[in-house]
Amino acid sequence: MLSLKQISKYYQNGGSKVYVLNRIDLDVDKGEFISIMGPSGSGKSTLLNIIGMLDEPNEGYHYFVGEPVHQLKEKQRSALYKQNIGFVFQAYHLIDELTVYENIETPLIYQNVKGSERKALVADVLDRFNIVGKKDLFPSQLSGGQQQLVGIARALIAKPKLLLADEPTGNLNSKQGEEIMDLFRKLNQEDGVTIIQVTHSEKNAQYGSRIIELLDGAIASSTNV
Amino acid sequence: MLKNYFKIAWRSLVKRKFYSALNIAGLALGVACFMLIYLYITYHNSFDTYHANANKIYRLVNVLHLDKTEYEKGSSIAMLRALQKDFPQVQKAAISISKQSFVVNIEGNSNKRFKEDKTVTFTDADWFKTFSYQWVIGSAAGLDEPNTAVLTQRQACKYFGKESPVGKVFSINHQQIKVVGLIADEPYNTDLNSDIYLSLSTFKNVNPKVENNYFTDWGYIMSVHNSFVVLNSTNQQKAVESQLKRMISKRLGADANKYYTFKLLPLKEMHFDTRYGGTVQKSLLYTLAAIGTLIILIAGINYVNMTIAQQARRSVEIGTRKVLGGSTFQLFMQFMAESFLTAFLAVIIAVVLVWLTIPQLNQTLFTDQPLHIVSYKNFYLFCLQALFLITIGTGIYPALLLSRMSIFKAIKNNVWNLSAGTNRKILVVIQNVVAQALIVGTIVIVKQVQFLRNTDKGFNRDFVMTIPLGETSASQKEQLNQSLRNMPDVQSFSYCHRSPASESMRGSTVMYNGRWQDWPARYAIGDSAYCKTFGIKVVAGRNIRSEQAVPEFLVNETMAIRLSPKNPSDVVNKNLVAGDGKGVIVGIVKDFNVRSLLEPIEPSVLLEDKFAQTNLAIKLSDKHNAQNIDQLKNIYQRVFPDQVFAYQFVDEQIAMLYKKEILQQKLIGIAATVAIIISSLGLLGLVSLITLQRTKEIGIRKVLGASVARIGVMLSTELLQMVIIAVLIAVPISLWAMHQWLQNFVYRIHISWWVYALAGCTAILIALITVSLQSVKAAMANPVKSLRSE
Repeated sequence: MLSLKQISKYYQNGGSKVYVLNRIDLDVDKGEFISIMGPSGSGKSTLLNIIGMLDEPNEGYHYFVGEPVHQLKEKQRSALYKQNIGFVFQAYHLIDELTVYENIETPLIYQNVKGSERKALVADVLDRFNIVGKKDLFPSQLSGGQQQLVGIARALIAKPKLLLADEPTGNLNSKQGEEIMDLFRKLNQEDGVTIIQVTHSEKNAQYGSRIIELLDGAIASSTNV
Repeated sequence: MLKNYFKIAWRSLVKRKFYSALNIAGLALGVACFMLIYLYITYHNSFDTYHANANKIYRLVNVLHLDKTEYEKGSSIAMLRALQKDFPQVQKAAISISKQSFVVNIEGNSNKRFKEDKTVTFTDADWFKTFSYQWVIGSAAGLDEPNTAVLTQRQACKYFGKESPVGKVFSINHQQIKVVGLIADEPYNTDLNSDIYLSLSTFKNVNPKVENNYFTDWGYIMSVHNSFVVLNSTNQQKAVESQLKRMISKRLGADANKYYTFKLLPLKEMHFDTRYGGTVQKSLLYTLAAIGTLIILIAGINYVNMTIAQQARRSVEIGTRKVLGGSTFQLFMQFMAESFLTAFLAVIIAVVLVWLTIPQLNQTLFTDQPLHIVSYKNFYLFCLQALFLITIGTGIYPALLLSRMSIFKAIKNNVWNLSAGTNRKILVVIQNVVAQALIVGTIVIVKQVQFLRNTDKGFNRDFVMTIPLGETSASQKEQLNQSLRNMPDVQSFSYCHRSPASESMRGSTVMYNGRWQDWPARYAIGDSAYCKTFGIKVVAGRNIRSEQAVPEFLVNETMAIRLSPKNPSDVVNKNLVAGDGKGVIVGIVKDFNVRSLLEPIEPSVLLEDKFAQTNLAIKLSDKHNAQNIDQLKNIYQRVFPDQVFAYQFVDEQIAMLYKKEILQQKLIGIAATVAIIISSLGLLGLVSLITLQRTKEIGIRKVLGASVARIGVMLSTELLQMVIIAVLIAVPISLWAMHQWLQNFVYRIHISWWVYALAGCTAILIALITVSLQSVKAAMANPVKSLRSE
């Protein structure tokens, strides 16, 4: 489903290039659950952002569901992204002035989904995540774990094929973290959502099917769990 | 989708209450100002445009080429009659003698008496065929008879109450006058208003002194004559003017065209041509329009600045929205919806503000011509246009900037430091330049108007009042003199035409030493006590004596130099023909201003003219003694039992001369205040955002040991720098502009350096107060809190 070939990302620092990612090759198959690990500054988040098309590499080839992303125009890339990728953040990034319901609804609005259909989809997700009772609350009225739950619900509302998560449990306590990871596993196994997560936690990494170790912008190891 | 944009926009406004309030308040104030200026301009542009023939009506005016060119709106009645009869291009013609004052006695039991001050007009039926009036009862035909009158409803109600006035009788100067018609009150937007129309043939009956040739002599050119013609088409103006020129040389002699040029002034220009009695200069309207635009500009800049500055807090939201699939266009529309909502609320508040302020303004500022909304439809259309222009003007730049932000940067909350926003700095500077230029303008105008109002050139106005008298018999005069001499507080009194520094236009060319001079002299008309009453100093010769067989004259220094350049004091005891008399110059007085200080001091003659001496000027020892006024009233009523007592202090009369300047001063003062308030709101918003962005930095600095004062200074410096740069730009601009403005005045103040220092200091002080409140608050905050929140 996803293929990176010789992807590099660097910053110009004076006369020399500082590589954040150096000639990365990575193939991800449908249905995989990958955990990216590595010390701070190893390029985990940058890699995730490039996969998620939030950031562009300086060099290399990037294929996603058969499309050459590196050749696409901004508009096409955006369309591709909208239909296929959901994002979960460490800091949740819920929109403060929208209710739980509206936060979840927003991606559908941006995709011009009709009102009645939106209602059905959001109601479905609320039900699935067991947050129906919270739908009219604002993010500030929720706990961290609940907020992240909403974040995930929002990422999944448009039925993406790929879910990207940047340290999704980083701001949560261990119990909340476990619940989120259980949810991820369930999504991956029952719904067939491909998941790539960045994590520091050895334990959380074990939930995935493959662990990729990054070191200084290069893949140090790739182990199947 | 649209509903969603507005829902989110509304929530976002509510969430950032403080900034939204600043934004909306600033915009609303600016928009209200702009609307008021719009209403003011449309109101004045509507004057006398409602007449059916408005485009084809012209006023006959003349330019008198003497040593100095004079403009007059008058003509002679005979001339207009000729236009009516002999000019094929002239469809209709109308004349009136306006601004006449009489005491009106209502016949009957009540025996009521009214003093009509400059509200009586003499005219005939043609007037009502030329201009559009609404007839309630009767028709214009009745005005072709002598001793008939047409009243407005307002006036009829004043005289006769609710009864129908037609057929009723009142008297003026012992002449019985019958009411033959009733017209609706005139619209507010006309300069041709009058409450009482008497038939033209009544004029001689109520003014027995009027000479027989008044109606037939081409030379009887008076400024109270309002002559209008309706031409068949608009392109005949020049043809009529040149034909009139030929006719004048036939009637008034070939020389007449050397002095007089008669012109047709289009009706729609009449309201603005101050040379011919227009009340508002076009230039004032242009200035106001410019100021209104500038104020909207500063208010708009505020909004743009604050919206962009808030990006700091919203970048995560923008990033998230993009991650959730929002396109640049969708985000752009989101921000435009916010701008629209802000502008919408601002416009609504502005309309309410306008609605609340108009009555206040009419009471204080526009007492002469109260502001009216000419067309509500146009006003609402204007509001709608304003709404869209403001939305687009203020919305596009921030919306483009924010919606195009890269997701990656946004989501990382990679805040631009405010100091990087050069564009915004420029905007703040522009805003302050405008505000400060207006402050300087206000100070200069206030000083100039004060100077005009309070400066007496060569005379002293203190504690002098005037009482209008009308016709006074010798015995009445004697009675008055007796009583006044017995009042200890009356220092002196004089029967005169006007006080010095008045709007009197009396004057003519004079014959000195047997030769006619080719320049006109102004007349100051009064008796031998005139000099004493007004503190005019005789510098050579002696004062005049009243009622001499050979009239005696005083001339001013300017005139003495004009008459005898080599040795001005030679003019004493020389013969002079001035006014109606051949007399002798008995002395020279120090130059004093006969007219307003808007005119230079001209050659002037102080002379007696019994018919013109209709005012009594009294110098009191103490102005504020109400007892004196009561006593004067009693004396007056005893001597003139059938007249109405009225008085005015010369102070107030002089202030009336500078009405236009005073209005200008007040309008620009208000504009400056609004501009300062709006730009202060902007500064307040900006500084609070800056502190917000720098919370972490402030925390770190405090941990490292920086004092509150130091941090306060750090936060204020940047904005103060901008204000100071603005001072440096505003000073030369306003210096130049005010210098230009002052060139309009013959007598003007010198702009001293402290005006600029004061304006600069005021601006800096206001900025300092605005900025320091916020920055000190930020500086005092506990660093533990601010650091933890990051």
